[in-house]
Amino acid sequence: MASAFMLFYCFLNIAWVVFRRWRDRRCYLVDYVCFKPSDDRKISTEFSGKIVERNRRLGFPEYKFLLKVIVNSGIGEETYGPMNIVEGREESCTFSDGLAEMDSCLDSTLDELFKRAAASGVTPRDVDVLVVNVSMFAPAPSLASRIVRRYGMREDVKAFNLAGMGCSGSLISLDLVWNVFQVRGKTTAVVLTSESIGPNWYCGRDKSMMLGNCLFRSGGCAMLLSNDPAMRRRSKMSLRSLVRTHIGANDDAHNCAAQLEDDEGLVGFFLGKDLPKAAVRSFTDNLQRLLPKVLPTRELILFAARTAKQRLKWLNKAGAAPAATRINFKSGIDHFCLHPGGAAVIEGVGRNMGLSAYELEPSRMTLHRWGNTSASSLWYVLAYMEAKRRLRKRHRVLMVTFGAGFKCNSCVWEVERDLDDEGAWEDCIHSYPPKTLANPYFEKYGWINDEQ
Amino acid sequence: MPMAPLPQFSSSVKLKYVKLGYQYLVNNFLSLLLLPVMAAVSLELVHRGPGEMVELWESLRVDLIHVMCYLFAIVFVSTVYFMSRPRPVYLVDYACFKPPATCRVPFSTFMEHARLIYPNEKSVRFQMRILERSGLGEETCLPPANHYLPPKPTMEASRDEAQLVIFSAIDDLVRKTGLKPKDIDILIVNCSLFSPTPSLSAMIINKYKLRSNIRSFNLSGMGCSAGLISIDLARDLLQAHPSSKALVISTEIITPNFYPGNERAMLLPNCLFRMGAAAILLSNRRRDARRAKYRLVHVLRTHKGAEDRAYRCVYQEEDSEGNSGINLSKDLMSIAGDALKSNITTLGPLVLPMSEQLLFFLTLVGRKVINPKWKPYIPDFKQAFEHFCIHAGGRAVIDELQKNLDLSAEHVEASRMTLHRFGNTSSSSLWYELNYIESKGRMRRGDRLWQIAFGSGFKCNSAVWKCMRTVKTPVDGPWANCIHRYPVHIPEVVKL
Repeated sequence: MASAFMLFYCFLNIAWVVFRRWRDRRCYLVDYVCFKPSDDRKISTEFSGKIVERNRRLGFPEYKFLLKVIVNSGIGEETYGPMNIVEGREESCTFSDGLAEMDSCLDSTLDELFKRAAASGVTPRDVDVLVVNVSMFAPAPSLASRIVRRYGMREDVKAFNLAGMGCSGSLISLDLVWNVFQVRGKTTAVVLTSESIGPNWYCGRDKSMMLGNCLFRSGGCAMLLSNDPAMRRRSKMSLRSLVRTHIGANDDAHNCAAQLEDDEGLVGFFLGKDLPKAAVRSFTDNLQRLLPKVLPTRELILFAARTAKQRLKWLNKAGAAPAATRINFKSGIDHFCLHPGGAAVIEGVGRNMGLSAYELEPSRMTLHRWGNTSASSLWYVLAYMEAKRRLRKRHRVLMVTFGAGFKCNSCVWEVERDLDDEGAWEDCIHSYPPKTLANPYFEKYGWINDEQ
Repeated sequence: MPMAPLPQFSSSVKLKYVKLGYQYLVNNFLSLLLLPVMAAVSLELVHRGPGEMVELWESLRVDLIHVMCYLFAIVFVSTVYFMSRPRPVYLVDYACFKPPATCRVPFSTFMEHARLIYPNEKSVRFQMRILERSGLGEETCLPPANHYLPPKPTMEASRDEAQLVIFSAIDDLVRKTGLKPKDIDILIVNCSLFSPTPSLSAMIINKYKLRSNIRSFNLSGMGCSAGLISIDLARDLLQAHPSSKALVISTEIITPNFYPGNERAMLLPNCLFRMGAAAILLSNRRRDARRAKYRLVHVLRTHKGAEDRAYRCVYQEEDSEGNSGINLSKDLMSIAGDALKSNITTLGPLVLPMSEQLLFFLTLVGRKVINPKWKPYIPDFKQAFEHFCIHAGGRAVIDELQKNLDLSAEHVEASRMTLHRFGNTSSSSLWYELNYIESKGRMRRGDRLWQIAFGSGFKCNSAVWKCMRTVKTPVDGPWANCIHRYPVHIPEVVKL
């Protein structure tokens, strides 16, 4: 009797350790807040045209090139820029301008996040892990320290400040938090992701570096995460898997997107011609590791069978190599959050994955309304889906981003409850999708598309 | 004639032995308690005799099945115990960048350049006074771009410096450990004042062709204590992933941070910061335990940023002319002292022997209950550690810590000599100091090491390591050709 009891006790112990390990792999997104800058920071096509005009270094060919990019970019009239550009000081951005730009994002998003978190009983002093990711601005003391000071966080808070990680920085921050969750007990984490536009404005004449000026816009997002099972009921989503792929070992991929100096010594963000190829390669690598984790076994077996059949057919008949067999992503994923890096990126990825206009709508609309806000753009896409009431309990959401290096990071979330918060889209969700995404200045500047 | 000195001497000697006896008693309390217990048991055995013992055994009615069940239970309980312990993190080896002699900046070169670059005579004289009292030697190095008149802080030059220091350190580490780049699972780079896109971690992945499923992180803006923050992150990642290796790179890139202005508080970094980098290989594989040098015992982070004064004491900003630089406040020492106190308050109970903790506790109780005028007892950290690596931030920092922790000159020798030979290399300085201790042949198996670093924010981070095998004096490395000249006496003021 006593020995039976002891055996049972031992089994219970092991079961408990295994269960605890499994439970600690949970990562709940309790809430998130996207940054909505003030309306006086809006940048329209006309305003962009004026900025181009006043740059003394640019001649007519550059003017034509830039307007062509802006008009065809898929970016709308209501995106936001930093204050120093709106005030006409884009070429003389001071250090305090850079800090002020960051402060406007940090204060606004974190104030709102903590206000909402108070309802769950979470205060800034309860935060155990803080991760800040801003790729192109890393002052000392770090932005993470700035937040610790502003909100009076505890002395033993684990603060991390990531920089230089490109547009996929928010998923890297998530990876960091998830790893820390697995080794600490009940932990609360705050992640802040944003990008610094002001100090990184390119004033020169190199066309491959001017693209950044046209595409990047101000934005940011603050997220509250926890691995406490008690927070599950209040949380929006839980993380199922996260896969990171880095193809920096390939020289072309590494050099295709980089911060460089041009021939005149002016610093700008270079976007090279190899970028689409690097994106496709890293995306394929990433999917190869991600899909076995998220698609149902039935679909994987069917895909393997279809591929084998096609290969056999090709072996038997001589001719061109077979087209790649389509995999049905929708068997395991309900919503697709694609990084709105540019119209071409969204179209390219959508075509490769066989996605419809409905599925690509959130990314296209985000590009139109907010521009490319770098690492935080995914969260605007997610907020669009939420505002449109598309996210229902047990739905799965795939997030994919690309970043300089070259990286492709992806993750899959499972929605915990029906979501309906309009967030940053509150004042405009009802006018989306608009009848046309074409630039209203197309007629005015349309002549630039004519080849001479 | 007064007889006072002799009795004082004899009483202090008696006190020393009393203290030693007290420490031995408290620290070995449990083992000392075992002696009378064992004596009692053996007396009882002798009393009873063998026959009675056999009778006692049979009365328990133990049969084979019971024995098997109990054995089974013991095996299971011990497996559960071992499974739920956190994985140990080993430091397999590390390598520091050895600057080439061509990058040397002796005082004469520094002052000559300063006179040519700064039109303001006051700025030149200020830098000379700082250099005289800095504790730096004549062999510290600045990157090639800083040797130009005026220095060329371009992005390309910064990347060149990064490639020089980081790749040299990694190449050394690969040579020492036989590390295959494809085996690296985790890569963490920390560099406070230079964070290009793509990051330095991407640069390393490109150069060494690391795997595509690597977990890489690039920390920036986190100051001189970022090295220990990287170690903390590496530890968490290694504990989350079995059978992994982590490469941690700690460096500071000097090129883009040259300050050409006239603000005094911002000229200090020009005088103190020098080129350096360290590459550290960590592992959680059991088979690496045999060849590892150290095992990580604790990492403790303290962030005083919630206080405004602490937050602003190391602050990057633009001066009135628009030049960007790091402003070091006059409060730095007292803030560092505060941060250290917070850190050791948490660290103390984890590392101090029972004797020190008991004394501290009794004094605390005494102050609260009996008499608040009792002096607070500062625990003797020399009981907990054999070696100390204090970030060589500057002479004043080392002096302050030596005073606060009541350390001897030998304990802070590694820090002072590193400051003299290499200058303030920011986050990598701790590793140069450790290399000094090893080069002097002082690191023995079982020795405990304490690394303390301060950084902007204001942070105080510390790490505790235990030496796993006696370290042979290295034949290469940054100290190899000059260790025989050390330690040197560093005068208070070197007249220039």
